[in-house]
Amino acid sequence: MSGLRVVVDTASPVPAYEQLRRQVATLVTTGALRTGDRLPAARALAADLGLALGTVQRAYRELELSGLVASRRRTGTVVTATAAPVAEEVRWAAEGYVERALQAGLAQEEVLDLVRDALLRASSRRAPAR
Amino acid sequence: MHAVLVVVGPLLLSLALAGGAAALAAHRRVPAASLPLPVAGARRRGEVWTGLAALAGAGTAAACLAGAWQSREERLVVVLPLAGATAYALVALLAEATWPRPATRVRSARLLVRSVREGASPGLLRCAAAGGALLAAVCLLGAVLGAEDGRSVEWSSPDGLATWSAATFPGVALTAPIAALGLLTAVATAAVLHLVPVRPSVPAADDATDAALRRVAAHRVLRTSTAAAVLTLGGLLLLAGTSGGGLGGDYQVAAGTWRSSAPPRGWRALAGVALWSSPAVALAGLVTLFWPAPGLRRRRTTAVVA
Repeated sequence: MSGLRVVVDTASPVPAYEQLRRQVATLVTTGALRTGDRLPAARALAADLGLALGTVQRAYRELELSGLVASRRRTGTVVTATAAPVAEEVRWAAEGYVERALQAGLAQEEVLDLVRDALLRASSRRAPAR
Repeated sequence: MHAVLVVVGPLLLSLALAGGAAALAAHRRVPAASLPLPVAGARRRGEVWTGLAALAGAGTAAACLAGAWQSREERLVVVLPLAGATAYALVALLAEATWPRPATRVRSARLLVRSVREGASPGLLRCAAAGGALLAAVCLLGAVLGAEDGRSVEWSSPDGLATWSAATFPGVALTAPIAALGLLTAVATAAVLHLVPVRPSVPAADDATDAALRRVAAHRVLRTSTAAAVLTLGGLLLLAGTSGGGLGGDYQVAAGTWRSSAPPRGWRALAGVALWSSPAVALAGLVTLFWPAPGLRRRRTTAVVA
């Protein structure tokens, strides 16, 4: 777990707490963070990222509300959710997509935008069927 | 002659230990040129602040000594190590609180849990706890056993005809300021130890280097405070042993009739143990003061030594 990093772009229109929340949520969903793994103290993470303590605390609170982590007095913030099993071919497809997109010169946010767009299209296609 | 030995002996020993520690640090030191720029900068910052803290500590101790010389106030002498350690810890606290935060547009952080125990050496933490507990126990015992003036100890013969008094004993007049300053030192040290793990990481430093920089910062403040507590303990034991062992003797009850009275054997044994253990305790304090920080070695490409 020591190799895991989070990155915050202070010029991004996405609030810093949301950037943090998304990245930690992704790490939990993909299984990089497992149940029982401890997250750094909010104060330490805020210092490392040069953010206000409240920003990191808000990200942790949101993660806690979504059931991914739990704050405990003795152990701090601990991951509670387990990663949903992702089929291997889906993971490969995602990695292949990211590789091709980056090779094409897209920025990370553009890569994600394309995925969001694809998700929106897929959900609108499925909507009439419900 | 005795007083000269008491002052000059520890001074020479301190110089020898300081020289040894400096030589070891120079031998282990990784050249700044082989460190990433931010890491070298962080190490330099730590060294500058350590120098300032040492100056503050030495200045405070010197002020106590000068005050004691002028006013003949022995309390200023016994609080000297702890006063110096408090000043050192407060400057170290300022250094940790003002550690530079990242200001770049894009910032990253490792999801790494750091704790006080990982930062400070477990052995030194145990020494600090033991030294603090022993000092508190000696202060308490001295306050209980001391005479009403708080600076001497008394023994009266069972018939009440004779009373012996010896000073200087670590009674409440001496131990109260020591306890207050000890508490202040402990609080300031604990604050530094809690700030070290949550200060911003050094950019471009790998996990091991960042941990080493933190370990050095924690070690420096912890060894100073521990050494101050142990040196104070040694001083109190010396005072208690010297004064406590000199009580009792013969006294005249009538013309030509003499009696003898002395404290119980346990008391004399305790005074003897205090007296003879005090040089060893003081030596342990001096060794602790100059104990080098367990930084990474030269082999690891990025090493830090106190």
